[in-house]
This record gives sequence, C-alpha cells and structure tokens, in this order.
Amino acid sequence: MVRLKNRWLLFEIIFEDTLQRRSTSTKNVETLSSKDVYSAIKDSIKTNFGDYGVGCVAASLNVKYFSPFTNIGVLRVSRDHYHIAWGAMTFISQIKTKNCLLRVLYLGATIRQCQLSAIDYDRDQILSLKRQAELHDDAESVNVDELLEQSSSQILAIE
Amino acid sequence: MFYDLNLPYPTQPDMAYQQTEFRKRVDLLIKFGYQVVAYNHVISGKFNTNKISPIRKLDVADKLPSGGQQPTIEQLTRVTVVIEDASQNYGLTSANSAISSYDIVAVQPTSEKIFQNACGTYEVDIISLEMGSRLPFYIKHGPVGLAIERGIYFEICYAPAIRDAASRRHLISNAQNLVRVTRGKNIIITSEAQRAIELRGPYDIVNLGTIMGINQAMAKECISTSCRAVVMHATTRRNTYRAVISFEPISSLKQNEMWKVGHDEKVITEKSDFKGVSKRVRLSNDDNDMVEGNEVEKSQDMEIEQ
Repeated sequence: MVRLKNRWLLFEIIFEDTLQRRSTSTKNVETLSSKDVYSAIKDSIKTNFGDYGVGCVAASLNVKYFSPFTNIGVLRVSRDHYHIAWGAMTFISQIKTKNCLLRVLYLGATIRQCQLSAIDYDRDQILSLKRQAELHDDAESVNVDELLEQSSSQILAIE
Repeated sequence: MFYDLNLPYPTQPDMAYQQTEFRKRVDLLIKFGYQVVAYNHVISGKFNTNKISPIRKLDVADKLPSGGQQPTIEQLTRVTVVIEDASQNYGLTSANSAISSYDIVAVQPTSEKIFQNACGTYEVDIISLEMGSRLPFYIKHGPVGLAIERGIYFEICYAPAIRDAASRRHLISNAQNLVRVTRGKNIIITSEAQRAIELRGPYDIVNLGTIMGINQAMAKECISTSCRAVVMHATTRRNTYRAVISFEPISSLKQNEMWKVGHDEKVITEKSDFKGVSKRVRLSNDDNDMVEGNEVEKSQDMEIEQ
C-alpha cells in the first residue's frame, strides 16, 4: 500500500479595499470563514479545470485553517494535482462579494514546515501592525506577546 | 530577483485617482518581492522624434515606514509601438532620439508580414503579441528562430487571463503555441495589470507557467534571468557603439575599481575635468600586461585624451 502524499499550501488573501490602508484588515465587516475560502477555491477549479479537475482534487482538497485576522490559511491537496489547485487559486479575483487576490506564501510537503512558516509570517504581520499603530499613536496599543502566543497556538493546533 | 517588465503607465498621470491606482500597483509589486519594474507606454502610429518618454518615475524610497529596511524597486521605462502597416516607416532605429529616452523598446505586430519583419530586422528588445484575443496569424518556426538568434524575447502578459474567462482561453492557447514554437526559450512573462488586483506573486506566475506548458525551472527563468537578458540587450542597444564599446563617466567608478584609471592623482583630476568620455572599456589586454600594467594604462589614458 502506497502512502497518500500531500502538499500543503500556505496562502494569503489580499483584499482590494485594504491595499491602501493595511492596518484596517482587522475591521473587515464580514469576515470570511475557511468554508467560504474552500468553496471559492472549489468553484474556481470547476470553472478553470472542469469536472476533471474537481474530480482529481476532490478527495484531498481541504482548507485546514484560515485566520480572518491575518488573512492567511493552509490548504491541503494531493501531491499529484497541487498545480491544479494552485492554478485555480491564482485565477480567483473575488470571494463572496469582495475583490481579492490569493498569493501562495509557502508550499510544503509536511504540515509541520507549513505551520512554522505560518507562525513566522504571522509574527511579521503582527509586528508591522504594531509599528503602524505606534506611528498613528493609537492608544489601544495591541498586546503583541498575547497575540503572538494566540496565533501560534492556533496554528500549531492544526492536525 | 524578479522582474515585471510591463506595468501600464496611466494615460492621464495627472488625475488623482489614476495616480493612486498606479501607486497601489507599484506598492503591491514591492510587497510581492519584485525588484525591477518597467512602466509601459503604448504608442500607435509613427514614432516621431518629438514623442519623448512622458514617464515620471515614482519616489519609492519616501514611503519608508520608520524602522526596518524596506525593500525598494528599480524602475525602468518601456515603450510599446503598435505596428499596423508594414510599408510605413515607424522610425525604429537607434538614430531616433525619442527611442533612446526609453530603457526598453517593444513592438506589437498585427499581421504576419510585420511579425516576420519584427523578428528579422527591427531593432527592438521585446516582441509583444496580444494574447488575450485570437491571433490573426500563426506563429511560425522560421521567424521565431531568427528572433531567438538575435536575442529578442517574446512576451506573455498574464493579466488578461485573470480579467475574464474568454481571454483566459485565448491566452492559454496562444501561450502554449508560443512555447511549442520557441521550445520554451526566449519567453518572458509580464503582468500588464490595469489594476492592482490583477497582479500576482512571482511563484504564482511560475505555477501559471507550468499550466501553459513551460517546465518549472524555465518558468522561473521567464520572470527572472530572461527579463534580465532583455534589460541587458536594451542597454547594449542604447549605450554602446556597435555593442562593443561603451563610455562611462569616471565618477561612476566604485572605490575598489579606481585602479582602472591608474595611481597618478594628477591624471585623475585632469580626467574628471574632461567630463563624460573618460573611462574606456578595455577589450583585449588583460593578463600578459600585468607587470607593466600601470604604464600601459596611463598611455592608454593619454590616447583617449588626445
């Protein structure tokens, strides 16, 4: 019996309306859930690669994690067809009603490395948020350590 | 190092919303890790000498948020000449002073005859085909091979594929044709993004390239080393005499290259007075002259000054 091999994609969603003011990403009125992201990717596979594409990835495709706070997520797909899922993600320009683009940050063979690079990315994001908050003299300065701890424990909880 | 050699320059750069949109696109490119961008200006009709580049480069460095080193981006200018009539003279020669106000020159042929001319004779760096719609002619081996021999690159713009489904089909079909004919060589992938949302990260493009039939390593070359070759081709076309000799001011030398002008202080000061033409690119005498290197260099310097 041959083991089923997977690829893990760490991706980021960039919304059009937050391009200018990056710090506002926390104030998204309607936040996306991992289900929304999953169905968006699946729809895109359907339009771009047809029934064949959906059939190839359907068994393995799964959004394991999505954080609406930093807009990053982890996707699992079987190794043989990861370029289909990735290509479909590239062609996405809208999720629900919001214009956005998906960008793959890391492609890994084990979830472990994906988690590590997700934590790294989260830390960079949180630190840059903090820097921005300091620049604008926000009184409610974010508690960085707490946020970091929270995000990394959440990410490490993925199985 | 990743390149995006086609970012459309706003048609009315003074209007505020176009300016902010443009700014957004450049910021996003920086965020994605691109290090070189070329602003594209499209001209249809004859390339007159009075059509000097209207492109103003953005001040990228001033956006530095305090602390931390922000990556910056190198900015180039590019012109794309749409050619519709093979018999007309479009003035695409190095004698045209307006041409040299741009860093990179591209042509967009609209018929097979013009495509052949572009591949065989035009002095350009990039041949751009409108791949988001059906091409009016087949891309043939003969002219393409000629273009590859001359170091001209073909361009695939991916933004139309992201914009709508119909052009996505055309683009994939045209791109696969091009890849088949060129065997994956001499292709660059650029964005041509009208809006920031149409840009994609470098590795997303590499994956897109694999869908178009280029293998992964070659797809990466399409947005890195091939683009660098285009830029080098362009500088060679512009700044050299018959691609053999170029001149640079002595002030452009780095500290560790100062030995090239010799050790005599007096020579250096004299030469910097003689502004512009001073440093000569040495062609042949390298190794065997090491012992008497200084003398040789000085005498060569004298030659130039005379």
